[in-house]
Amino acid sequence: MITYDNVTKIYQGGDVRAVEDVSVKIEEGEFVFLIGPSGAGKTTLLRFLIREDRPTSGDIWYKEENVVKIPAHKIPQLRRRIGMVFQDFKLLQQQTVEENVSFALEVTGKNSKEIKEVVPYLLEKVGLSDRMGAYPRELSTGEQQRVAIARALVHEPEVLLADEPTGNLDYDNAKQIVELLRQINDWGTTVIMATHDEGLIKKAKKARVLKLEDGRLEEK
Amino acid sequence: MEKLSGFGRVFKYTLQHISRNIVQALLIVAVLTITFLAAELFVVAGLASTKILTYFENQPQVTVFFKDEAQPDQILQIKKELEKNGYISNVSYVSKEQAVEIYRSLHADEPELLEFVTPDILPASLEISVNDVGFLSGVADEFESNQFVEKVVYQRDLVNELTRWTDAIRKMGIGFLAVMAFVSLVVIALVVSNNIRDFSKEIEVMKLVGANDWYIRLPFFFDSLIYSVFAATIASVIMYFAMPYIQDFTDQLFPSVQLFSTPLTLSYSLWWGVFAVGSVLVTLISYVSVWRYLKK
Repeated sequence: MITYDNVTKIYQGGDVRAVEDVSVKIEEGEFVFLIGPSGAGKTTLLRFLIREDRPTSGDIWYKEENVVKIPAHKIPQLRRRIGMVFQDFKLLQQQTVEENVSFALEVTGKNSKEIKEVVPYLLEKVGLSDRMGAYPRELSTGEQQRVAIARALVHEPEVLLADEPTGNLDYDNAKQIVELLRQINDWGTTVIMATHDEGLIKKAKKARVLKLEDGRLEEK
Repeated sequence: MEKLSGFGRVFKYTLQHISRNIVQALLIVAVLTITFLAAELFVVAGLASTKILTYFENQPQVTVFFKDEAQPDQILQIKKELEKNGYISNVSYVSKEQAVEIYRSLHADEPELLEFVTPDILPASLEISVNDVGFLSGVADEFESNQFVEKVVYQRDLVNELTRWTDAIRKMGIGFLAVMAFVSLVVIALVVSNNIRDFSKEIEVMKLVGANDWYIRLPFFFDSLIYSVFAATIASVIMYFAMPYIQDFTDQLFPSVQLFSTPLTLSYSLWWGVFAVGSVLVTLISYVSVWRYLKK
């Protein structure tokens, strides 16, 4: 489903090698932990997949498409097939929980009927059906991450990328988020979660673990 | 809350842009209004000067007075010859009798001036208009040497002066307008860039969830159109109310020239003109600003 083929990223005129010669295949329906210390290149690898960035060399295949080479006008379609959540949630503070999730559907031109059906359904799935009218500042960090996850799921993506989703959470909340991602994976979505917290891996059964250190990838 | 359809949503974001930065929006409208007003003033000044010039060009510009010995037949023959020239737009023959009539009508209130005036003492004349004031001195020179001609009178200085003024207004207007347009566009570019920065979080989320670039750009274009509509309307309304004062001013200088026969129609045309040109320029600036931001 996803193939990184000899991917290298070099920054600052060749001084910094963020990712070096990474080759890996990820199959449909897998739950993959991408672990490694901060600055190891985890975020960079994920950003390549939604074309937030491009490698210096190598190819990245998503199904039949080479993500590195797809034209700019096709990127929005790609991002509807690959959802992503972040450590800092990226929620709009002046919008309610419901509006934050609706926003993702509105800006992609979905009709009102669909929005009215999808948003409450997803918020129920992430356990926030009673907080639809709340603003992000009124939520705990764990709840904010759940909103971000619900938003990432609105287009029913085939892949969900989670970049340090537990980075700002306490242990209990982190555990719950991993559990939620696990559940999403059980529904059939491929999940790739980047984290520097190796303790979380033990909480997820049957997960594949890839370790990234100094830009190099190894299977664990 | 009832959810909006595609266009409604774009318009909703447009209103959000404007309401979140209301001071900036007012600043843009103010700057655009001044520029549009300057453009409209320039157009009105151009129209007025052209109208005044045309009025004088259409007046008899060369009056040739004939000696008493010149017979009407001879004068009419000269008239006939003149009319064959392409650069002559009109030639009128004023006989001695008609000259007296004109004199009497001009001095109807002054009987003492009329008492001794008879056709014998006033000369017959030809009143000549040319298509282009450039031919004026040639026509006058031609008659200066004619044996039947007593005197040639023509408004060379006035028309030349008007032509110079018209040119000067045009050049100064274009120069002033270019500076105003440049300043306005720079201000708008800065404000739009600032506006984009204020919405960077929304734009970032829009991009991440798969909104296409046009969905992100359109609200900024609508901002520009709304600013242009307001500025063009304010400028045109000001211009509409200023027209009578401009007319009063020109009436004192050129009483016979009617500048604005249909001020409302003119204001409407000016509105369309500044709105069309202004919105294209402002939208272009928005496009470049958003494009540069999205490219990052």
